[in-house]
Amino acid sequence: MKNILIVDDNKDITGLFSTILESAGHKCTVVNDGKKGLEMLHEKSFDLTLLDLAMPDMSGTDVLDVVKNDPNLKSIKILIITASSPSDAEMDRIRNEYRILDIVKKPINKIKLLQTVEKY
Amino acid sequence: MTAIGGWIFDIDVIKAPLNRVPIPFVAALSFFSTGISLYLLSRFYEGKQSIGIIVIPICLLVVFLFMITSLASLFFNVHTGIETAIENIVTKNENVNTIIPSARPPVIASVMFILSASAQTSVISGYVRSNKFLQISGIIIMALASVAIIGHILNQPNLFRLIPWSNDIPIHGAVGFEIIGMSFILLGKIGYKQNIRIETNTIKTRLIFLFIGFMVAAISFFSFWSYDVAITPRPLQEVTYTIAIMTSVILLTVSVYVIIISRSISSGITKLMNVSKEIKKGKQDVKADTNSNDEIGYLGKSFNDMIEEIKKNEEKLREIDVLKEEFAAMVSHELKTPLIPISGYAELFLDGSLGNITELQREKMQVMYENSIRLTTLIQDILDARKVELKRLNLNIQVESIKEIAKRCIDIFRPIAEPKGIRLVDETQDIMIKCDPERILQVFNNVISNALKFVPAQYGTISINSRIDNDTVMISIKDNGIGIPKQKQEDLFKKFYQVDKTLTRKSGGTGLGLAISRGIIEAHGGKIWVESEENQGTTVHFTIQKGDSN
Repeated sequence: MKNILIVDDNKDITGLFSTILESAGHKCTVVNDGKKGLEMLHEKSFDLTLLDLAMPDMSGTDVLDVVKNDPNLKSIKILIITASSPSDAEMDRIRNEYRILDIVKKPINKIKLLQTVEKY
Repeated sequence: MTAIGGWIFDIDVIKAPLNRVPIPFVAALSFFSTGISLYLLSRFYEGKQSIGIIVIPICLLVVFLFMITSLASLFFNVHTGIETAIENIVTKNENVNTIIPSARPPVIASVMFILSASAQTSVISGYVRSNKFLQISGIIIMALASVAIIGHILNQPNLFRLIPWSNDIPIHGAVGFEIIGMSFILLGKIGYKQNIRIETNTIKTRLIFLFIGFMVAAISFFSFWSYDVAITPRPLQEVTYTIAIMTSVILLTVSVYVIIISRSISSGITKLMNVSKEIKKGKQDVKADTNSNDEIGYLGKSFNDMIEEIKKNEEKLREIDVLKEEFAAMVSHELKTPLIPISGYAELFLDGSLGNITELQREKMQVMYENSIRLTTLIQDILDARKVELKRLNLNIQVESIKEIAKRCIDIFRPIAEPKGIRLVDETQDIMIKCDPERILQVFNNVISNALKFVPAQYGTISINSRIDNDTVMISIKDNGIGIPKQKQEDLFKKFYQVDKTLTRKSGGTGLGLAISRGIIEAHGGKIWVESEENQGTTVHFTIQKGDSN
């Protein structure tokens, strides 16, 4: 059982992810923009954060920038789940620049999502 | 004009007014020509460039006239010498080789006329410092003419004989030169202020200058030598010798000029050729460094401009490429996002996570699920096909177990295969391979989704095998489907290729899967190929480098 924060602007997707994860016994907190995600990270501690890249106002990389420079958020675990197809070069850049667990491209099915979450 | 008229009609008073020394016919003609060319030059300065060009042939005519004069005086000397020698032999029985020539060439006048001709020509030819040259020529001409005039005032009309090369210049000739010199200084000043010069063919200019320079040198030599011969009696043999040597010198000089000119042209062209070779090799930052101020220089400059233009266009193309990529990424994001909840919830319905559903509902939900997956794969395939085509597949290389990848693949296809009674068998060993696991999984997925279309329902089997072969691992995915005819196996890996076109509509697929798979495997440095017998089944093999065994 893990305490998971899901940050994605698409409510249908956060709904699906939380349904899948909760059915497997995980506890999910859902927020639909980057700013609220950061607030939530400051408020509580999570075992894992699933972060989307393409979001209005504050994108995933914006969130990562803040996290990178905030010593209080040093120990959090972030997994990028993105539907946009970032170029491989862009993915490499994100991998090198930020301390993240992995980048997973959507579509992601139930099994893959659960496997990925279990892995970390 | 008057002087020329005097000579033509042979009127002594006009030839030599006030009982002074007459202006020679050649000098009169030269004055006349210089006057015309000066007028044309002034028009040239007013912007009438086409009229100005006529100055050049007129100036050349003046130079030519004086060359003829010098030559004539030389031959006159030699001729006189020979005559005298013969006379001496016949009448006085003296030494056969002695010659006593006479006549002095008009060297100072020659220098002034040639200077004026060169200065004017240089202006017309667009020579860079021509206006300064014009002014300096004007000053020299005025100075020389002043000496002549002073000589006349001091009643020493033969003053130039003190500078021992030349015949004297009559006072009206000297005044004429003063006027020419003055005009040059004024014209030069105007030209210098307005920075007048035209961009003409400067290799031609160089040739003209070389020609004029050569003429000046030749005439000076002839004149000096004629004078030398005139005051020192010498053997006829030596004169002949000198003429032979002079001819050789002239030929040699001409050859040197030709070599210099041709080298300046060919070295520039060689430079351009080398640069274009570099460009052909694909180098970007090359430039032709032909800085000479002539046609080759201009050619180099326009060549460089052309390179710049090409670079700009390439830049533009690259920008368009980036835009295209951004657009593709955006479209794929927008298309894929709504599909995630569709396929996701369908999957949850199918596996019972959302409660029990009837068999009919399950059947229809299966259709929804499969189609949403198909659509998702299609979008991904189109993007990947482009990446493979552009060889922009960056791999995130890790060491991963084949068994792990095979398991993930089978997990994906089980919900599709099981309802149809198709068996998916994992017979792989737990071997580590060096690969981008996501990409290799994609290859597995492409091959297996193809196989699924061609194996018979109920007793179809798809099995995954692995075998170590030195440093590589061969992975084989075998099915017992309808097989592929030999002649069509080659084309399998081509984009949009379908073995049976009617099947496309029935079983879906873009025909991109195997082309992408090949791109992925080749990016890993491996090989992919197919073995198949009709009605026996198909096996797709591919090789991947083995990872560290520990």
